[in-house]
Amino acid sequence: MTRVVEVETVLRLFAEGITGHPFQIHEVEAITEPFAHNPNRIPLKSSFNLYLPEDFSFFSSETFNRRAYLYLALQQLGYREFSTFTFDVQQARATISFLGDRPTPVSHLESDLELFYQHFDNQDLARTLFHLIESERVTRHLIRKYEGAQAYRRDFQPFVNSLHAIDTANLVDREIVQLSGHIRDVPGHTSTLKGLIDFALTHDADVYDSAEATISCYQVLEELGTVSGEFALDSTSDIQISLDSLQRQARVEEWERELSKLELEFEGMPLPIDELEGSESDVVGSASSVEEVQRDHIQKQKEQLSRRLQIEKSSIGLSPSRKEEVIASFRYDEWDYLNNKWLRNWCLLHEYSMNEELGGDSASLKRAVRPHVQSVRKLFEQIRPAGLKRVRRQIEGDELDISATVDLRVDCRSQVSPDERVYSRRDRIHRDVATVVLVDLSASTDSPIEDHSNGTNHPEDQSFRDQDLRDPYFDDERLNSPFDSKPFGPDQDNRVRRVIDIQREAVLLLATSLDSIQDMYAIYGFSGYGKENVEVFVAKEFDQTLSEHRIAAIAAMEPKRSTRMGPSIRHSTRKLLATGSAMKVLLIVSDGFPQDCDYGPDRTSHEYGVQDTAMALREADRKGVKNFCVTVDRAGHDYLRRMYRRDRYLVIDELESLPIALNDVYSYLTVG
Amino acid sequence: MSAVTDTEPFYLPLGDEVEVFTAAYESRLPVLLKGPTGCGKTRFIEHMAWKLLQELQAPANTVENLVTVSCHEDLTATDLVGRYLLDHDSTVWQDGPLTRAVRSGAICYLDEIVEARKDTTVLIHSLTDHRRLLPIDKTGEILQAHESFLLVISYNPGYQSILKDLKPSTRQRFVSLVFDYPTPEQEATIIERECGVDSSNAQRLATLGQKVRNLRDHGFEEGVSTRLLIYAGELIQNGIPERTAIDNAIVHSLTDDSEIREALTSIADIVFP
Repeated sequence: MTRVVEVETVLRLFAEGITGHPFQIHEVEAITEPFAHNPNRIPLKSSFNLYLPEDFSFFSSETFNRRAYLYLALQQLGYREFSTFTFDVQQARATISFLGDRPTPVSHLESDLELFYQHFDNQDLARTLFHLIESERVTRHLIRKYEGAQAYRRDFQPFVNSLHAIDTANLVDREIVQLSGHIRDVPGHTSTLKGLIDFALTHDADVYDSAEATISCYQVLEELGTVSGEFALDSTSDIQISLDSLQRQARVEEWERELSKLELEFEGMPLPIDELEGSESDVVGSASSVEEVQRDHIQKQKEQLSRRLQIEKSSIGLSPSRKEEVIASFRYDEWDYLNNKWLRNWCLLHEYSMNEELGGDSASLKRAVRPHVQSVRKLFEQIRPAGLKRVRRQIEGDELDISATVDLRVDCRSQVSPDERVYSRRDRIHRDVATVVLVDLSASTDSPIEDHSNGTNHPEDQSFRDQDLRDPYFDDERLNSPFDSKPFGPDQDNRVRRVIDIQREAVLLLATSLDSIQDMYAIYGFSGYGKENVEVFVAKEFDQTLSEHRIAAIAAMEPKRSTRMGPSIRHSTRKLLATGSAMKVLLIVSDGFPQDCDYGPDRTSHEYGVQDTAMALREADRKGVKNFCVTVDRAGHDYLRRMYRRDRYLVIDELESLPIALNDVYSYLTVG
Repeated sequence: MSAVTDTEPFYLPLGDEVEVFTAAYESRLPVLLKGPTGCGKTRFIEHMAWKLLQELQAPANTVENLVTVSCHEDLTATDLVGRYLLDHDSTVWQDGPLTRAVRSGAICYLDEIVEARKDTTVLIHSLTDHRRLLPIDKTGEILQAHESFLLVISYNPGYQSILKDLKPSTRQRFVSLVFDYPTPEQEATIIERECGVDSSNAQRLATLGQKVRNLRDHGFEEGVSTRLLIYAGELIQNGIPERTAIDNAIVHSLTDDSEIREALTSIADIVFP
């Protein structure tokens, strides 16, 4: 048996190679089950989606099962490439009299294909026929365009043949089986309907030809009775998804792509003056400038499209109304220390982008950081590279190294083989550093500082275990709005400072300092709930500048759910390696030990999470990523020493000293 | 260093780059070629150097009309300008490739200029404005460029580290020609012309190239070059079965990652019968 998760990466790459767009792979069930019932199977945003069976075991050979997956993926790609999803019911009504003569279906929340089916009395029959004819039209187009697809179809044929062995007494079903078998080259099948669909399978046929062929066949079969359901949704319905669902999904994807473009455009527009050092009142200025008008226009377009998307998505039950945008998803292995083995592709990590719309209070954040900016920057400027250094005894260089030249002459005269490195060269000592600041956004960072420091909610206290702050379900009120955490405390103006507040300030201070020495850095938050839903929130990427948007994104970092550290560390390592920098640094800012609902078999024990995190850190080390953890958990020594080397973690006693500590740690790592 | 060749290096124009370059040369305007690895920048400049030597008033005694320097991260201004070498009992000045081109009036092509050390930009600046001067500190010379001399640099905006970029002060001294991979039809023509493979296989190779380039974000930033596609065509032309040729010339050359390899192999399976 081959599971889709085993071939997911290959399928993603295959689909992206064929089409040029990134794809996510989902099990077929994902599109049919509303989010509320299955939160771990959210079809992802900002990319295209393919829906494939969870496993495939028809063939005894794994190679053939893998090829079957590729063939199924190719078919779905074919629907996009050969315009199945661009089917427009209005256009069909204008050109096909059978449809035009009937009343227009009214529901605007259906796909155009679903509206097409609604023109028929027997919608199941119409749906079945259309799916059959359209899938064959697309397959033939695929084979014409990609000659090698024929071999994949041939390999898949035994599976198709097996489905056509259905023996049914229902006349309509029997006709469909015969028609399906005939056009799919199943031995022994022939159909009286074949003359009605041949035109839809030619090289220039389009989706409207499939619709016409559907109508022709329907009119013949309608006389015979109704479909029984035994063969109602085409012969491969158990491994494929209905076309109308895919069309709606494709429409959502199209809108999301448009929205991303608008957001990129918006992000690229010039911003008002940098507020961090200047006065905030300067920001409001020439409101009537052309840029302002353009910004407003794009903002309105964004909002309209966003609303349309929300309506469409909630109507098809794809997604909750969360505000972060999924950028991409990744699978990571996990180390199972109990069985001493790797769990391959065990965790699914979703990368979300954070933006100013999340409502972070960047003005307060900047106010809090401003007094420290100058002093910390001065400290950092001391680690700026100090120009050029002359390196002697080089094979090549801009000047002869006199001492080396004299040695060479002496060697030559002594008839000794000389050292030919006679040049000196001026080398620039430059910093080539890339840093990821990985911030723990677990629910416990919502704790007020006072409580946190007096130990009343320490993670390993019995009281804490009874009411686990990292468990999103520990508090019903918070459960109602897991993505919109509100400041903890009596009120907004006089609120109690929380761990997350200090973390955000520390991160912003570090960011401004890193900007001053021009080191590359990225800022991610991490959280999640369960192995299929590890979340990494991108506040700033390496190639982004510390703009107003990025500061707003840092300000929008809020406590969320659990702390599955292993995959987040592996993901950060991956991103660091991609920078190609000589020195790579991973700085983790945490407030407690790793924990998640399914991080190990025993939820009350944290050892599994500690061991996986330790393994992830060792992997990072092996790959040349220096890592360091700064924690605000006073009991951190207990578990940190099981994960980190002694010189790679720091436990902060006073939370308020976190910003300065972070800066010290950075200097130590990159200079020391 | 490229000497004059008897035969014209093949180049299929993808737009108006030949006309623009010719016009720039007539006014001796420095040229910047932008584009990904293996898309034909070097071939273009070889073609233009040959063509200009034939068609324009290039010096009759020119023995080299194109000086190509592949820049790398250790390449310094000294490497371009020249250095003193040791002789028996003395030191001897040896011109570097840039100095040679400036003296002789050749086209000097600095390939992947952003890879070189920053001190090379000092030389570029004085050569690319109205002065057309090359100062040589070591000898105290200030060379006035030969009237036929032209500086051409290439730059690959999407390559490697995001830190590597051309400074605006350098960039704004050049006329820029933007290159990209040819369309599948154009690439098929190039493949067919370069390696003599039949047109259907040339078309398939071009299609494969296009698909593989879609994966350029997955470990091989530059996708597959036209050069590699031509290598595959050469192998096919020499009797190696298509799929074997592709595996050896393209798939294994691009990646060691087993999953990317499987995906590339599957794409090749789809494209080739």
